[in-house]
Amino acid sequence: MILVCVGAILSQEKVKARVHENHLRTKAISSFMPRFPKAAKKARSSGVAVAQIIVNEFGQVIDVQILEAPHPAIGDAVKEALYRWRFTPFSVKGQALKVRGKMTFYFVNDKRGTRVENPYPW
Amino acid sequence: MTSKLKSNLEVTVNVIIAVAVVIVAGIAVKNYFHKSTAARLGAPSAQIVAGARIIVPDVNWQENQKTLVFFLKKDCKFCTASAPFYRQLIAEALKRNVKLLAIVPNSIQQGREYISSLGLPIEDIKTGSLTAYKISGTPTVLLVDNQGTVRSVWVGGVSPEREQEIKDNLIPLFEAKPVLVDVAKQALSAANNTQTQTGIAASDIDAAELRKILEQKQRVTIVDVDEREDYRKEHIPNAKNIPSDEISLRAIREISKDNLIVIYCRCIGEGASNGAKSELMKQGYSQVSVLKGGLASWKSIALPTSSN
Repeated sequence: MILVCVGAILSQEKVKARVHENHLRTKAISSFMPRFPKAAKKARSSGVAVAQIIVNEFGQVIDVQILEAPHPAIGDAVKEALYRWRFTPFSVKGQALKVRGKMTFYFVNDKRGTRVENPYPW
Repeated sequence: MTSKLKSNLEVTVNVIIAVAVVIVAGIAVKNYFHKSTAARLGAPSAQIVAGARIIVPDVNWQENQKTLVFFLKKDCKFCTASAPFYRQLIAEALKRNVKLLAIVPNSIQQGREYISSLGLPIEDIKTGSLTAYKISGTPTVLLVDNQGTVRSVWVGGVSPEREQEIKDNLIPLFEAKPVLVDVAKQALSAANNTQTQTGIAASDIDAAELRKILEQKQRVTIVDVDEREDYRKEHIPNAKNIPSDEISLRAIREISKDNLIVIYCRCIGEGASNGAKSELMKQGYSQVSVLKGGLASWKSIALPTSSN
């Protein structure tokens, strides 16, 4: 538990820049759509999920905070997916940076069924 | 001898079965990863269709009644083959003041050179991912109205038979009446009309005017553009919370263009609100106002707030 807290604190340190989601997505070299969790389907949950991520100097996602999710299971699914994303490292004047940004997904539950979508135009 | 032959036959059959299993497994794995990759990368499942809204950065659809958008790719043989027909189409479009726009996945310079080589007089060229626009292939031609709504979609190279079909169905739309912005809603901006960068008149309103709009039960969406913590503590009742840095991606799905939109924040000078308003105007929202004085002005006339 202490290690988790220390890890969480360390990951927040020295975040040099915030980047917009559009910029984050253009720099993604591998991306994973969250799955639509059974618990959320059962509860007929749907809506927008927004997470804040921290990407380290190597392009790895080292922290995910769920800012908004229509169901806790959706938040978990978003977290699980985002930790697998990889980005081209962000840099300024040749120096790699740790950055923070938001990621948005739409969990849709309608007549056609359930699915997860990126925000337009992604 | 017979038993040796039988043994050899058994071995041969086993080897064949093993090879067949490996091949089938390989195909299955390949298909799985192909679908997974497509799903992971959020590949769109459908071509853009008429009736859909399209957003192109730095393009304000309201500046023109109609825009003919060509999605072309350098060295696309069908684009090249369709060029003579496109020249005719463009000539008809220009006679009717239809704006021309080309979007290419290559660099703008490469796109410009290619389009010029086809003899297409298109000056406005943007670069963008075809997938992001839900374009399944090139060439694709869209007719977009002044609200950013796609009125007509033509995908693929143009055969001689299709040329007539396109002429009969697309060219008449060049002259069809555009969708008019609801002038009645602009009554709110009667006091202080200002021209924005997008050319649409919009004005800020104060808390008393907003109260009047709500009392009259007019269709309005109130958007709180501050961060979630601020919104949770206190917000205008029924306001929707979309932080200002999320507006550009969330607005199109979550805010109807049919309603009057009133944006507010808690910051001095309404900086976040004005930024969000600019973003919405760029996306073709025409009825956007900023609440002068933000939440503070709402509270100053003793109006109630909600919290989560």
